[in-house]
Amino acid sequence: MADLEKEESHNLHVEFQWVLHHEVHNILQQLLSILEECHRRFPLINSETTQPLKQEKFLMSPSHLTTQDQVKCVATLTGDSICHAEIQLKSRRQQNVVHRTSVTSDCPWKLQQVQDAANHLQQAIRMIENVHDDYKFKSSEEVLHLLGAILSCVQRSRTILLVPRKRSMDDLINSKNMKSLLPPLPNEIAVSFYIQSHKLIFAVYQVSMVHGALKFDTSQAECSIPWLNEVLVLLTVGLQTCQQLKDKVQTVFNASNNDSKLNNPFYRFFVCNQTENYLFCRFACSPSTAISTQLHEQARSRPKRLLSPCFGVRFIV
Amino acid sequence: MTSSIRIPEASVPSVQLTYTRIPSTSTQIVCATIKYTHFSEMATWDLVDGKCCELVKIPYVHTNIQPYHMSGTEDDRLFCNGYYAEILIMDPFSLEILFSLASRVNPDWISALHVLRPAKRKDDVVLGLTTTGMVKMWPLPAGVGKGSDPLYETESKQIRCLNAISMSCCAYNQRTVIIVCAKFWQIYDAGDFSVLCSVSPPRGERWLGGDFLAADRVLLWSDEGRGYMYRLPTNKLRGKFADSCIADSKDFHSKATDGDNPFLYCTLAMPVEKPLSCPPAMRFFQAVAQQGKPSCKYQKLLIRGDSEGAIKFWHIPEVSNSQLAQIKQEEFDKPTSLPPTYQITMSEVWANMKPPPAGIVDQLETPDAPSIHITASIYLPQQGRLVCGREDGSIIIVPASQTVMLQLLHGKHQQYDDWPPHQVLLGHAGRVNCLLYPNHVHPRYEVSHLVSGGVDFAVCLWDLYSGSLLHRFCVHAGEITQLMVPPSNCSPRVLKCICSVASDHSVAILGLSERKCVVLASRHLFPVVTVKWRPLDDFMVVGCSDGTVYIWQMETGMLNFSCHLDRVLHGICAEEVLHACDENVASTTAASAGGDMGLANPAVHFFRGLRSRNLSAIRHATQRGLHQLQQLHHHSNQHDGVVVKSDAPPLVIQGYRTNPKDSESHILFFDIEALIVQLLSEEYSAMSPGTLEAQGLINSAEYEKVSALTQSASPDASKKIADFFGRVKDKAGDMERILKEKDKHGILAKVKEGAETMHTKLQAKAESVGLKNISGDGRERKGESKDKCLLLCSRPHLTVERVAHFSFTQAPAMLKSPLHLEIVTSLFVMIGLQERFKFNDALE
Repeated sequence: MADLEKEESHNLHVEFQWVLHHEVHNILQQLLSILEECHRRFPLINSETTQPLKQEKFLMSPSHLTTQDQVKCVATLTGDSICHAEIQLKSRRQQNVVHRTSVTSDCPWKLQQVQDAANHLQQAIRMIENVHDDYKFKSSEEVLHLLGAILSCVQRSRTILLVPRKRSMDDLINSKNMKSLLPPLPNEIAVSFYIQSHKLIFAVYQVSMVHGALKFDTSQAECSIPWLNEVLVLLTVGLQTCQQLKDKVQTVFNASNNDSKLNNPFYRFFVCNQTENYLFCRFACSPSTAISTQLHEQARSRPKRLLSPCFGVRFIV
Repeated sequence: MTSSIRIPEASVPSVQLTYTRIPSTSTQIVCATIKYTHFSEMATWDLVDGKCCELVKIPYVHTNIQPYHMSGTEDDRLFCNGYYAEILIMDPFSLEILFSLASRVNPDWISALHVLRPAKRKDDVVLGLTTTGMVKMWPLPAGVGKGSDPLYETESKQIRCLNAISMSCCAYNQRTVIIVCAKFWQIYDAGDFSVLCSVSPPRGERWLGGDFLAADRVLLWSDEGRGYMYRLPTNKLRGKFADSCIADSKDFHSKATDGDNPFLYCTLAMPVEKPLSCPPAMRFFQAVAQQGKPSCKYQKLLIRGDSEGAIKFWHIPEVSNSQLAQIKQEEFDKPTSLPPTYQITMSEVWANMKPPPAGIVDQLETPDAPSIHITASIYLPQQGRLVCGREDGSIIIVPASQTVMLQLLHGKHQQYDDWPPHQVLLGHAGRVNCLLYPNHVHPRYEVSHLVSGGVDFAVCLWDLYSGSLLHRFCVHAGEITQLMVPPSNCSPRVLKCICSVASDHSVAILGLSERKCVVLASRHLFPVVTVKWRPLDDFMVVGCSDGTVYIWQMETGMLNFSCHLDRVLHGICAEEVLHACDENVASTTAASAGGDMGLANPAVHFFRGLRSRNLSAIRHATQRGLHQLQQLHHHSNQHDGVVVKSDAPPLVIQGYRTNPKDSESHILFFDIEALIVQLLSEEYSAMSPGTLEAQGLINSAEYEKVSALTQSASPDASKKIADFFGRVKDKAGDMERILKEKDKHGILAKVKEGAETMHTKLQAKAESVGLKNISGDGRERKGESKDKCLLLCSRPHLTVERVAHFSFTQAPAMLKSPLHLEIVTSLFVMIGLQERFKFNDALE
């Protein structure tokens, strides 16, 4: 038994070294290519591509709570700004008054979300690039620290696109972007262009006095932007890849740094799927419990865990 | 009902500390910034008394804050840059944003900034560098202040430095600027921003920062925690000061062999480096010399703090030009390397502490067996027992006041062997991560049940009294990280369950009475951050670290085993649902009276039945709905049935840790009011009604006398007492109330006699007792820390004398003065702060 434990301890150690020196680098490279691919989708001027930015014209359609003729907007996007837009909106107060305004290329409406998301992503890429291929990680803490930092960058990038920041009416009216509207809108109306998930949204907020009470109205028009969809998918994939590596290092190897853990009656098995992206599971049970029962029960209660095609199950007793 | 759980490491908001000294008032302020995705929280802390002065939430996230004394202002301003395309100028006291510097040409995040006052000018100039390498200049006109319109740059130029880390002008020669990027540092001419020289880091290292030591000397530091000192090629430097430099060093410079490259003449490095988990924080510091030593004007230091809890610093050697010439002539492979002048680690400090800080269950230690760390603890006030889960999987149960006495008070009891008696629960094969005593949260749970979760993936249910293992739940595939109790308006089946969260991102609802896993929510891809409840909709809402929200059916899930997961939400919907859960709590408490009869809300089931076209489900739901309507009438008169626990326990033991890997330390809270109440009710419960009568304790005349007494006291005191009476009235029955009010009189009379003498006696006692330990510092790091005790009184307004009067000789003797309490309280605040902040960031 003692020999077995020693061997197991040794094996774990070897596996751990392999993960630190090979697996982490492999997955970081995968992650890097995902994130770089993602960064390329952002329509920003970078040093590699010197070609001028593409202009795209979008006809924005009213979203589900807005009636057909309340808001009309046609926007032209260049990079991260709206360089041209024709806007038509109906006043809530006087139904027959239509306000017309436009954004012109002299003073474009900048979508700060795009730049912010791209910058956070760029930070994550830089962190991975800073790790030399031949760098040998010394401990799981080091890897976890790096992965934690990368995760939070990618996470921030994704959140910025998914959950636009809430602004107060005052902020909106006084924002720099509102000054690019020509002719300017009346004081009680604020408009905003923002990104939410894969959509560009044009929102109109109106404050009006109805029978002495302040009334607040929102109407929206939206359109889907193809590159945003791709960016979000890649960010999600990147986030998952990074989290999976982190889980692998954290749950399996963090504990195995401490040799005393191995003396406990754990039965370990791991399931390998075809991509060698294996998942370790350890189960604690008393030495008298039959392993097969345990596995069987586990398989029944957690079908999701074993869905990937297995080609090997190994027990280490 | 919201249960927030420990946030996994990835989403812990990072923190940054900036130190400002306000010259006029000599107060020192630390500004802490906690960063989230969309906003950050900034707080200022007075370093003298440790109080938080100001706390604001702003919609900007800073990465760098630089205090600078602007001309024409009385005190410093904070110049901030971060995840936004401007530079913000903030007031360090009020934390208001005064004005901003915006960009006209290619606006982008500012990665580095430097504020300086050019020679012969009155106004300050801000130099900023965007992440894309655009250097910009903003002159600050006089009179710019709060509410000014954003200023735009006057000049901008594209240079090579992408994603720079720092930029600073030479204080000795303002024509030169050093810009540090991870892969190189460069010296620029401030006049036209042309590169003068550029140096890459040694192999395998990246630059972290750098600054000027003199007009022609620079100090750089790398992420390996080393410092490098360079001499700049003087022939390249321009400006008045550089000219004088060149003149001085003409003799060796004439060789021209040193060429155009900076010359590395000294390194500051550790002889043996321990592996670190992240790059150390480093800072160049120029101290003003003490008065005793007028010879050196400045003391230059390079300070480094790392993840091992070590602080090191180097005195930067002054190397004269002639010495430098000598170094240059000698042939050598590597420049001289200097070890740190001074170093110390947290673990050393703790190890040197004599006597070592006491742990709450130190009596279990024997000289031959090393101490086993406590990893989780819970205090059971009703039983007066403390349950400690330990690293080796054992759970120890000890009587709390006795174990506290043993650690903190000298006396006969310390000679007893094996005292106080303790109970050991064995069943976990590895560290115990968390403990839960459900009855403490809600009386619906059995008094004897104790639940523990361990590193061995198991949740164990124990009988507290017999010490037997009742059941082991093996449903998770990762360590158990958290155990909690569902809200009290769930369906009856869920009410008998507890909820467990594991590191494999799964959440389980475990039935304690049926000994079965009721729901296993295990499809989360990311660590679970919050678990919230919608009891009336029969939903458990699980929020993950990536912002996704999973909505699980609790009971409907049980009925048809195939589908528990109702919905997965992302983005803005997810946020709204999480918010709605919080709002729901308030509204449901009112509406829950009729809703908790059978299963969850029948209307919910009715609609689910409709959706799945399940006729029997619709019928069943309708029947239940009708039944409930009939029942509602009877219920409306009744109270919720849950009596709010009236008596606060006199002693509470709270475990805390400053690092997830530390063992737990404990804080003892003594509630003196509750102590008085408890002691008196014990005393009077022993008396017969006859003796009570005899002592004049249940006599309305006496009661009136007391109330008259309380009226005459100062307005503040009377309010306090009235408050106290009011609370007592609510809590207890009539009899008890009268008793307590009587004894109030008793205290007052006796305290009057003996207050002064008691106080001196008490102090003498405290000193004779010899406070075995009050370990002050909460900043322990992993490895060195044993569990330590802090004492804290939660009700400082009650005087100690009263307690002493009851000859309660145990712990309150420790509470010497209100001042002491203040110190401990502020320390406690700091500990809380530390806990939220990562240690490495905190060092910055």
